[in-house]
Amino acid sequence: MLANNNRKIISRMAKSSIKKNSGKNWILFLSILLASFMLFSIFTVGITYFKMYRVQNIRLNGGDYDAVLYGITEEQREKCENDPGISRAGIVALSGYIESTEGDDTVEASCIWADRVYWDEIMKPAREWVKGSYPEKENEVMVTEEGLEKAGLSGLGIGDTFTAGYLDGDGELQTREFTISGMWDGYGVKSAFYVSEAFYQASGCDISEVMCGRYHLKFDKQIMTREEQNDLIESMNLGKQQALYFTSDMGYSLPIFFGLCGLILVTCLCAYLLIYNIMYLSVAGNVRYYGLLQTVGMTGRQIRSLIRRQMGFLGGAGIAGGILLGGAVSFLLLPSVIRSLGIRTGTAGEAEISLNPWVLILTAALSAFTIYTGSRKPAKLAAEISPMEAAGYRAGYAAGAGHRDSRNRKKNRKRSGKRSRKRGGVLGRMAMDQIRKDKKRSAVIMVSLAAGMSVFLCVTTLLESQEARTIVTNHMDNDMTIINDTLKKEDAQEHKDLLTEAFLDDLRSISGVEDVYPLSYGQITVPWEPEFAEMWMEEFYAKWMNIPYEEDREEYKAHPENFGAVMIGISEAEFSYLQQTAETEIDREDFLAGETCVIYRNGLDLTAEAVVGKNVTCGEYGNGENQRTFRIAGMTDEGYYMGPMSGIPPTVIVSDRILEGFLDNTSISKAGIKYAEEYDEETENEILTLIQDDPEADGVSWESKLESLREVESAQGNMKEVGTGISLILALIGILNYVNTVTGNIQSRRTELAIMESVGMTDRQRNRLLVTEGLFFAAGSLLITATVGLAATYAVYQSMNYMQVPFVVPVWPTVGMAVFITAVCAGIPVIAGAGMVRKGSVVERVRQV
Amino acid sequence: MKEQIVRTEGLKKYYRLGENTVKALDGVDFSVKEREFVAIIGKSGSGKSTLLHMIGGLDVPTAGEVYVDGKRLSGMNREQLAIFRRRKVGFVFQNYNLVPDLNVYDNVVLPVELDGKRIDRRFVREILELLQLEEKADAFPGMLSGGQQQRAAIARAVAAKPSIILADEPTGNLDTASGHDVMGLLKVAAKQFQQTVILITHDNDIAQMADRIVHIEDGKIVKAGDLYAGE
Repeated sequence: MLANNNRKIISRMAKSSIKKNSGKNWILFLSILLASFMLFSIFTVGITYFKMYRVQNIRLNGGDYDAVLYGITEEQREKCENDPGISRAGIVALSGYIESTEGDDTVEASCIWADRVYWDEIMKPAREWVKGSYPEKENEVMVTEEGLEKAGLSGLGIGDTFTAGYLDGDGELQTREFTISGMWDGYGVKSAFYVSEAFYQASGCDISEVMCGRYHLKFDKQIMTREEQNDLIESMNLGKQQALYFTSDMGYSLPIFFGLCGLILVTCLCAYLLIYNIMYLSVAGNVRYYGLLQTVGMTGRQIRSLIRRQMGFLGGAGIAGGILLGGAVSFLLLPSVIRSLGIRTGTAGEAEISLNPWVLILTAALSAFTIYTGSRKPAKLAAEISPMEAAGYRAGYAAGAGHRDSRNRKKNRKRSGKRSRKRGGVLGRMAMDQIRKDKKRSAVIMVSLAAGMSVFLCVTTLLESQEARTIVTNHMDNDMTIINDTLKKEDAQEHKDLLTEAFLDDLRSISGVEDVYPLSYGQITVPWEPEFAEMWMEEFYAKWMNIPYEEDREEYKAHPENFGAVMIGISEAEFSYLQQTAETEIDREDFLAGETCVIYRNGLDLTAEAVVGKNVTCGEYGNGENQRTFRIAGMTDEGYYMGPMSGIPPTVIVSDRILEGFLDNTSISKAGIKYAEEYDEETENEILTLIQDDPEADGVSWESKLESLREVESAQGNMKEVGTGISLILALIGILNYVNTVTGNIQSRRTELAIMESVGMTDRQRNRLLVTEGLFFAAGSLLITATVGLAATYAVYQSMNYMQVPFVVPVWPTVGMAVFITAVCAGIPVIAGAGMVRKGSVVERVRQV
Repeated sequence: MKEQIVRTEGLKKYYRLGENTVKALDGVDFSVKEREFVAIIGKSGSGKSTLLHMIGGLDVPTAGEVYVDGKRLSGMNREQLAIFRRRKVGFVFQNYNLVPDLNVYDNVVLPVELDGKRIDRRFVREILELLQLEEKADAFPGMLSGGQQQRAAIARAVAAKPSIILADEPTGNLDTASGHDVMGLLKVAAKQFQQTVILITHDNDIAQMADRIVHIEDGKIVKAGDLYAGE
């Protein structure tokens, strides 16, 4: 059989059909353009978002690494260096602690030696600038301006020298003159003094000790399953004291990846529904035309080919346009918006939008696939419809009005009989019939709206959890903690009572201060006894010490005063917080009465079950006669209760009144301050002024939530803006889909609406009908969002929630979204209806087919 | 003596068609008395449907006035015109124009429901019986023959008890037998419910069933051609 060469005519008809139906095709073209624009933007902006997210984590971690090994043996080092899966392994050695300088005698800064891999590769992305060079001589240091300031050495620069007292690896106090060989700034431990390898070698520290060595590992893989992580830990053959920690984003890389895939999938679904919907409406609206073509002798295959060709023209143009538009928005508009918002740019990865060729390919492929599948069914429908059927066809989705089964009709009749008795019920019933008439179409509209809203909900919830304010949490959510640093001095003679009652009263008198929570401290001994003390010491030596407990046991038994320990006293107001941090229920009365205490776990592998109920005896330091025994009610891991220094025996936490009654020599080690208004800058400044006005100001330091917030905010860069952009784009997909579908639907019902108008339906009644329909759609989609969408959001959230931020749906964005969607659902049909009315008189519209 | 229920004065409707102006109606003075059955005949494009649409408030004239039941239509806004249509006028169109999503019963009671009035069920049943549609009350338009659909359209036109029924070529899509059948029923219904009927047709046989025949040509009533049936 000879092939019928009809390509030319079909191609010509396809072109002329596109020209003739310019209105409809314009909508179709725009939908394809928008869908591919959204896919492109989502991928591009999404990739940028996750790059920023990585940048944030690199900054918060102070370097680009995935795991840290505490303590490094030679075998482990060799293994890591030979492991092809580990791309970088950098060493950091804590080689001492600076205790004092000529400008401040309560300095708290570590001396860190970083090897070349760590300094040059791992730490580089977290640094903003470096001047000078990394220390090579034993007396050289590399510092930050902030570090110098904290050490009381403000104003020094490269080449300057200073004298500092520091504790070396053997705990010996040394004094040395240092020369600043270089300075840097960026993110990470900025108070540290980076020292040379020579300094480390001479310090007596050894990287094989967990207190000294940190091995930072960077893997080739972006994603590691829990099993792979465990395998790695296993293969490292860790000693009892050693630990291998994964950074949060690597530790949760797989769940985060799945969450991300979920988001992309929903986005694709939204785009698919958008194209599919509008394709269907477009072809279904033209069925009469296709019927006519069949009448004049066009075969089904030719019609299918005609439709495909039309879709090819429109699809190609739409995809190209969408990608170009997406490119323009992503690369031109977005960065300029970010800049105009006054957000800092210029440093690593902040406002950079990057183009990945895969994004182009994926967008085009996905859009093309959607167009193909979206037009397959309508093309089949158009080709299968007989010319006679086409003549009587009214555009809709699956079956037209005449194809319903009798059972449905009977139901409808009964319904209408009942409703007819009610005044004004006809519009509601007709609106409901519209929803029910074509359940598939209604479901598609609702699902696409709900999908858009769910993604919006999910992204806003995730963003909220990534908010700097959510990430920054302090002890008891305090706005500021003031610490008496003199209490950390080895020499008790140097301890000063700086946080006096008078000082605390001054703090309380500041109008913006709501409450002050002092934490008292005193030194104690914990005499040996066979039960708890023995168990604790055994565990402690195994975990933290380099010598076996057996070597020290006898000395401990004979001279517990050589094993100083700490007792912490908390205020009554803080009890409930302490309770929250303990795994077991603590009886408030017993605790306040001094019958029970809580033990700070100090990282030991002791369980609460093994400890709770046992007694711990404490003696006053320097006055062993004064003893008191407490029953242990619980254990806490809250580092805030660690005390200014920690001994080998346990840190015992009791009520402050009990502490003061028991010990003669107590002082306040920390004071937590809560502001009346969170993050109140004015109050913070007043407090800082108060501290600085104190002649002993050098002896105290502070941790401020506001400062941490600023730090995290600066680490985050523009993450929030970009994330909000993504969620808005996604919400827009759902809305556009609705707009397209409803406009198409009203377009296809224009004759029906004109008929009703001809028999006396007023504009107001038409609007009421359309608004009611819209509200049904809004209610349906909100219901889906509130159930399935919320469940999916929860699942995605939990899989990505490595920071363990509690799941809270942000109220205002959610309420705003619901109101907006309802308004859109109700408003769009009315606008479309009004637009339809403007197109001609009732007669003209009744005559239209 | 019967009162005039429809009156037009100098009614004009001009359309712009590219460079040209089409005078669909060009100064029509026309009146119909209560309970009269008037047929307007004329060639295609003579303006007969336009005249009917003007009387029914479906379209607005370029100039002139239309009075129906003493009310001037040009003084009404869209809302008032819609209410006027559902209370005063019943339309029967050539292509039936039933709402496809509503069954026959719901189509028939639609104008009454839109008016928020209580449905007179006995009256509706009476109409359906008269138009031989009682068995088809639950059927949807797509399942009915042309004649049945047109009868349903007539039932809808009389259901709200309007004063006037405007029928635009109601038999145009029907075969001769069905056409006569429908016309007979329209006439019977109008008589029974005391309604005025203005019918447009180009079929002389059909026109002969009216009380009076009005000729329209090029947008003007040919006065000399105003005939009473049988004259």
